[in-house]
Amino acid sequence: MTDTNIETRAGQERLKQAGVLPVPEPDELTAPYWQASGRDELRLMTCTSCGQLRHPPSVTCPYCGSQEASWERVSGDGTVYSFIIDHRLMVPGFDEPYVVAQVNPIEAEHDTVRIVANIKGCDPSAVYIGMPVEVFFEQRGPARLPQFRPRLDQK
Amino acid sequence: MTRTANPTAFVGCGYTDVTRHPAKSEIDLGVEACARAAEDAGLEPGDLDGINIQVHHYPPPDTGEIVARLGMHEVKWTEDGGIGVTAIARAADAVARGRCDRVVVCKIMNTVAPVLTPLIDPDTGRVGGQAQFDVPYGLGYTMQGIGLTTRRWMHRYKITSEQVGWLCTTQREHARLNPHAVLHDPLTLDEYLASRWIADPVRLLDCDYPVNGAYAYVMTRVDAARDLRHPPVLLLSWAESSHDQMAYNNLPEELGDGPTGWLSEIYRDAGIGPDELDVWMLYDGFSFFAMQWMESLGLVPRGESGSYVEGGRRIGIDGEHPVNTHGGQLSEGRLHGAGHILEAVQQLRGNAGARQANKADHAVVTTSFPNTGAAAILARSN
Repeated sequence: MTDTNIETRAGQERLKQAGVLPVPEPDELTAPYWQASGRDELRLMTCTSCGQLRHPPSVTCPYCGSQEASWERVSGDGTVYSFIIDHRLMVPGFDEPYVVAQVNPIEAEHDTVRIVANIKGCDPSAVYIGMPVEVFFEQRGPARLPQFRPRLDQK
Repeated sequence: MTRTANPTAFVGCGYTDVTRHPAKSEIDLGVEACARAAEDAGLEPGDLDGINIQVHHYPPPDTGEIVARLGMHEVKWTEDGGIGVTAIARAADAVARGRCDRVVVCKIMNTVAPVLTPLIDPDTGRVGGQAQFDVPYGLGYTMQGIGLTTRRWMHRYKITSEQVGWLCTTQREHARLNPHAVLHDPLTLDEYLASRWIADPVRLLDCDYPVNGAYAYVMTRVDAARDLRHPPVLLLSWAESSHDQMAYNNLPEELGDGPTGWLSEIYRDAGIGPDELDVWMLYDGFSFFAMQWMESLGLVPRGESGSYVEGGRRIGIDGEHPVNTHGGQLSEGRLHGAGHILEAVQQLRGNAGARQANKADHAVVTTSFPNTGAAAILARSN
């Protein structure tokens, strides 16, 4: 919404031509998430007061207001809450149609806990709401990105 | 927030030509639209003493230059920004509190300025903030986020693409009767369904059409509006969400089950219910919004907007409740809510010509997303 965006758009064109994929830049609040994924673990911020998981990380628990939280490891199994198949390909580094999904971890009580990821390992047309998926990790620059693929075995 | 004390009214409408590509500067467009709005009200630009200019980028054009070129003598109130109904709210509040007497509100659209672009470091590709969880996965644009909420909504309520298509084709029929609209070619359901994917389930023809142009309107107190050229159109009520961002990722699935929460204020303050709203000017930055607004406003039962729009008859010019009779942003062009406001005013005046609804005593106008937007009820004055 600022004139900086115009420069950023030109910058994105450079990234696009170079085929550079975006890389997450952790901050104080989010670093434990990315440190865990660097070890191929999926850990989610968990309220130590009410026990609810939340994602993305936030200072305050949206359910009880507590600011005390820990990072609990989850199984990495989930279900697809919603998804798109992107054909417009505006984000740098994405050059063929791809799925962006919101995944509900099976441990989360609320379906507002939604992890954004690509669904890989199947044709985009095979993805559906409610589809069981499992996490895997993908190298992206210095980061390991949690990603999801169809969960075939019902554990 | 809502206001009904010191009722205000719409007394003039001003339009520039709307074009696909830039033909004039933003200042030129703003001056032209404001001058025409004053003229339509039967006023001189020098009679205006308040002004609001809206653009969607920074820095904005110099409002002082627009004021000077218009020939406004004394500006008692000026405040830029807002969109659609939220700009009505600011202007009406300024008039109601006596800050100014006759305010012109103007939306200027410019396709050269980008709408929203994710902030990616152009050298390293790094993305911080909340976007660090989205953009690395290729999620960074509004239409993608809308695709996520839309698929869930369509899934939950069994809304079909064909039903959404009926909204789009009906609005195109309306645009064909609107000389201001940029899209006049007929649109069939098959053409809608064949339009290319942007972010499945979002098709190209679900997205509003970027244009250049400016729309303006003049508001004043109702008691000062009676002697002007047109019968005043009354602002009965308005309300806006306190949400200030287009966050979609953690929104609860219910986009407001019926007119609850802040939306219920428009009915409380207007003293009428959803069944008394004759014409519906529902924001359609994306086609789905207009349908979700029907549900959130309680105009149709939750989840039943699809069956309501199917076939197009109920929402056509001669239907039960004509929807977006100007063609909406899908077919008239993306005026960020101003087109809906001006069309409601024309309908309630009875000036909509070939697009005139059979009954137009009350209109509802909405802006932006059904969960984070704003809504107003307007009424004819006689």
